[in-house]
Amino acid sequence: MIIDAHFHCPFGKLNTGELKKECEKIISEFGRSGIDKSCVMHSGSYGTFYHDADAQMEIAECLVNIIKMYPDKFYALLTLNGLLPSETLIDSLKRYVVNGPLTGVKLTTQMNARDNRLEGVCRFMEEHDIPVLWHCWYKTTCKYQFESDPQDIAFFAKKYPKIRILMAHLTGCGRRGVQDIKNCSNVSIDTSGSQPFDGYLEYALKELGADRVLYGSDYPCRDIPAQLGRIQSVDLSPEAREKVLCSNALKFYRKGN
Amino acid sequence: MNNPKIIDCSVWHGQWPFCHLRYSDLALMEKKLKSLNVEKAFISPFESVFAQDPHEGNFRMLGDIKDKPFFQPAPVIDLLLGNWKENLEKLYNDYKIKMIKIIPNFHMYNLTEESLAELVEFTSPRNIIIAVPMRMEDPRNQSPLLKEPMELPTVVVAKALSFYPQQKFILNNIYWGEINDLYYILKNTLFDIAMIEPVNPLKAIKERYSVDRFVFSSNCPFFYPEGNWNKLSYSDIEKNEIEKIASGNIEKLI
Repeated sequence: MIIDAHFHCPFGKLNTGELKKECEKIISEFGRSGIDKSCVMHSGSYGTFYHDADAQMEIAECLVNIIKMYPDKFYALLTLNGLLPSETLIDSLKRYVVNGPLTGVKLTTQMNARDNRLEGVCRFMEEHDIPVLWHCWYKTTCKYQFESDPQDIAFFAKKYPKIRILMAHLTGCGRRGVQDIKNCSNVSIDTSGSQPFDGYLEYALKELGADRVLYGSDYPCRDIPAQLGRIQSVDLSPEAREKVLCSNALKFYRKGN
Repeated sequence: MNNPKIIDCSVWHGQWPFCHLRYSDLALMEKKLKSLNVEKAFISPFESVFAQDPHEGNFRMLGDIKDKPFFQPAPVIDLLLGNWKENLEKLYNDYKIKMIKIIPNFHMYNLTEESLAELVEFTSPRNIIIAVPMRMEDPRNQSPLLKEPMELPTVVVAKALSFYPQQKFILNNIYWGEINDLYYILKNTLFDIAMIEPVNPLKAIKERYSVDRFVFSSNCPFFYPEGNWNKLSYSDIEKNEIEKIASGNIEKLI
């Protein structure tokens, strides 16, 4: 079984029919690439990450629809706009994650992982065992103002030691990023990010061990087989390969298994 | 799964200065690429990207691949260097080179009709392909010592290359989003798939452009070869179309 731990669905204000069509396209890509299941989250490049409270609700409803239609195919992650009031975010989490079918949270570039404004919602996540996929990158160029880098994620991980964190984009975080989170046992890393650059996965496996590395493609920003090649390109024992491709994701996401 | 015969249009010799690359071991790279059905690979020296005299890197590479016919040399030419013409002639006469690479953004000259004039005068009648990498790596990940994104702007490439319809060019490491600005104006140009990564890349190419204008590059050892090989092997377009990208298009050219 292969689980893709970093996956977007290009939806915006879609009706159920359009959502279904988009999901069928994804499932057809699963078939072509040998993927069994993935997380699914909103993709800012098809709308905005700076959405208001209504849009936050709409995104959550789209995800609920996806899970209703395809309960065995996706773990739904709610992309939170950290700029919204804490109460709004916590209400969304109560309704859609704690009392609803969504699995976890995606946090991205609107707010840096060190920002205290996230405190309320993160304490809530900690209390309710809600995992977070954090966008992350060490960028030389094209960096967003408040984009988190691995040092920021390490800071967050130490502040909220009970939250399970999946630090996104191994290729963007690089070797330095792997070292930043090495001592944060609540942080795993996904293999997505950029083109098929060699060497990063071997380094992460050596430094973090196979228990903390999860395969992810970043679809539709990337092609699934090209990113899957990253896992195929390294020598791994069958047990380690199974962890990276599947069982680490089962342990990380839990709800929705 | 498809397993076409492949001609790899761009691999590199030596080490990139900022990180160790496992397939910089030529024997290992050859073994890996052959296991993916690559029959031939055009190789250029990393050393020549940063070196004061790229020909030192070219000739070191030529020495290393002397007994390895799997590798076809694609030496790097720096058009600002005083002896480039002399060396190019030597490379052509002694090594029968079929492809060269130019890297204007690292060699600090502008890619223009004027800067290319003397080179094209030599390469075009001899049917030597000029390969031009749009970038060496993802600029977001480049060393902080490289202050600017080391990329070629598409408008510059369009203007310079369109002036020479008689010359064959390959653009390496181009992004999917850049092709549209170059595809129609540069009918003399092929695009390599190394950094092209829309969902289902070959199908996307077929639907939007023509498979006749694209070639395979693994960009090894920067990239793990499985990444680009998977673009072919997992593709669901017609076999003969995959074969064109894998080897047919470049075979026609050389």
